[in-house]
Amino acid sequence: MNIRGFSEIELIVVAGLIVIISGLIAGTLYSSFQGSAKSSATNVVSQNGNQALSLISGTIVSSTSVTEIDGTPITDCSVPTPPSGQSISLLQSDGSIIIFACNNPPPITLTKNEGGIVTNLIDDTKVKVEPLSCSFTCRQVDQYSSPIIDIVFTLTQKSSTPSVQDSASSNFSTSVSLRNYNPF
Amino acid sequence: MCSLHYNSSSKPKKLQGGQILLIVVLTMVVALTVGLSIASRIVTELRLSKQNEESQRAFQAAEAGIQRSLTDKATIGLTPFSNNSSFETTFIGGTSANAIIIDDGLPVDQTTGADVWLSVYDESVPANSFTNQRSGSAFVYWGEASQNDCSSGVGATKVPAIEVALIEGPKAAPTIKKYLFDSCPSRTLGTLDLTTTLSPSVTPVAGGPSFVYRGTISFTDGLVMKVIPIYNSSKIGLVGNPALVPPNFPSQGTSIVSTGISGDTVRKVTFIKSYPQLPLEAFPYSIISQ
Repeated sequence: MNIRGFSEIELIVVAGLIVIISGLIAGTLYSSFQGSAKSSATNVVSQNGNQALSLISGTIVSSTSVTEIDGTPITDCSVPTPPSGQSISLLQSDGSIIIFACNNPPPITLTKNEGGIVTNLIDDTKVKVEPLSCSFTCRQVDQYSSPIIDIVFTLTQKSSTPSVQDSASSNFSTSVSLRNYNPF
Repeated sequence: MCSLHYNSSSKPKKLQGGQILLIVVLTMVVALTVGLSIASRIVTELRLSKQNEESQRAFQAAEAGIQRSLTDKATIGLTPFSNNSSFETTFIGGTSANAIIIDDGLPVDQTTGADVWLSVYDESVPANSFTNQRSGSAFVYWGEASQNDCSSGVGATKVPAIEVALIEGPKAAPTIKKYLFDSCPSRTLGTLDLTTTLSPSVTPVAGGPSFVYRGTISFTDGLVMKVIPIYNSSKIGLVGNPALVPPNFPSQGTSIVSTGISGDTVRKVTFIKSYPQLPLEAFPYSIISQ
């Protein structure tokens, strides 16, 4: 009868080992689930930012000139201190003006104003622009070459319970030149 | 009796010894199957995300190449960036040829049309343009075999008609001349210029598009002309026939082909910049009512 069964000590040791091993496995699984939450948060921020950036770049590339930055009219950007601001007005080839702005009251979003119709370039239920992070700068080598616009902004995820795993923040910046620039 | 007792007690020990190996092997099989399938899924996801990253880098590198080529107005050789991407561009500009395909073979939009310069546009001092005016006659090519519907109205399969508004003469006192080509006379009222249907189709520029319709235009001291497809968009080709005086059509603009490379991914961007178009008011033309 003794040979067939297991002793108490054996059972306790095996139970302890199983507890330790399942604890390790549970820890690994838990951190991988946390990782997926973090990666989906990062995904939301990066997709919003990339889409906004490519939309703004596309409009700038096809614009004919920059008319205003931060509401001040601009004739050419080849001045010693490049004009910079939180909104930029671009003249299109059909005569219309498109304004990109990030100077709304908090929570700050990126907006596009086309003929009075204002659309949000980011999903403001999920992400917001970091205050003081957004700027449009216009540089120009001389008054006949194409102006180059530097766009910089930082997006942060909006979440009701900001925990380390759920929060994501990313900087976006690019420089685009006006390929249809007409100095005359 | 004692020996029987001994034999029956030694058998269970041997059975127990063999069982552990079997149990361990089976457990390992289950654990490895689960673990390896998760691992392969993770590796696939990592590879996809790496390809996505490389694709974005290559695209940005190609765009940067276009930028650089536009500024330098030259072909740029392989230029690397610090983020493991590089670009290479080919700049085609200022070339004049006897046979040209408008917009590098992109279809010209109907009713919008495209400008063809018959004189030289001066990029550095645009006010000095309209020099070296060409004279002679040329073939205009248009239409593809798939565009074969002669009924009235617009559509993707309609045969395109072509209107040419040509400005010629001295720069101080130009005159305008108009041509109208339509291979379907039943749908257009008014006098048409002769359209030749080409069968088989003709490819005026090697490697370029093939056309099924041809018309002839002539000009003396041509300045600039506008070619407008009607009923459907169409690719347009032009060939001097016989050769123009001075020879060849002047340059129609610049095109830049930029290839961005990052790791294994290659992205290619083509940028076509044609010379500024004259305002539409310079080309009064009647819109065909459809």
